Amino acid sequence: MEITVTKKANAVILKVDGRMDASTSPEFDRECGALIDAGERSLVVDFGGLEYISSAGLRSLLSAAKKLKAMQGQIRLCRMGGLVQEVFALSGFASMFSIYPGVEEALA
Amino acid sequence: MPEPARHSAGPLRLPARRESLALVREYVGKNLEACGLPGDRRLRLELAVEEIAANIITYAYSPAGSGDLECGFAADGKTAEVSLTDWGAAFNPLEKEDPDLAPELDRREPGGLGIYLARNLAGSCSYRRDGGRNILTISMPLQPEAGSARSKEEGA
Repeated sequence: MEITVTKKANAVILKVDGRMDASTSPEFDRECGALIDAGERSLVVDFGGLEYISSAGLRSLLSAAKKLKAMQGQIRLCRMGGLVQEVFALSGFASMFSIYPGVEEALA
Repeated sequence: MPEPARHSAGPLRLPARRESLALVREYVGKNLEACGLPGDRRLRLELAVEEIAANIITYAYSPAGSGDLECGFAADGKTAEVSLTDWGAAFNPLEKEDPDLAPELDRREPGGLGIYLARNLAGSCSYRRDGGRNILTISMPLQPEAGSARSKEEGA
């Protein structure tokens, strides 16, 4: 998994590429935790390059979303496809998160 | 020369610890590639394996990590099959109730989804108890099954 962080005027984009599994998800937790600690309250996660997400990855997203919600922040997801989209649909996560087709829509 | 889709490998036995997940993934990935399972079905099977293995690591032994996890692989030209074995108390994860899929963020607790995803993404899962072992077999057809939505699409 590779995470690229880009700061925009009113949000931070995290581009997550590769696989979010039990071995790599802690890295996502650390990255989100650091951004939230630094005062960021609006995260956009770009899943355009993510091919795989397991329940460990879902758990990380849920924990980031709960943390942000408690601070009046939010997490938005975009560019989801293939297995990632299927896992979101199956788990009910698709209706828990704000999901956008592209980065621009998520930032709007 | 052997048919490329026909492939089996010696089992991989590891301590049932979180660090072993990467080795399980490597073993399964390598074997699935060797038997020619296409990308989308390979990822689904890998996901089912990760979820079942993670479940064994977390729940099979008390204290956690005090026993082993064994991963086996076989492909017969039609189906790829991964087996996961532990020596813990008898437990059939396939009998576990489905988790609460409530759409409200506040009601959702982390966890509980792994087995549900495994059951729904693998071609099929089966459980047997054999001589003090829990053996969970996860299989995936190498080609889309006749009559499935996918093969109908392809035939259209």
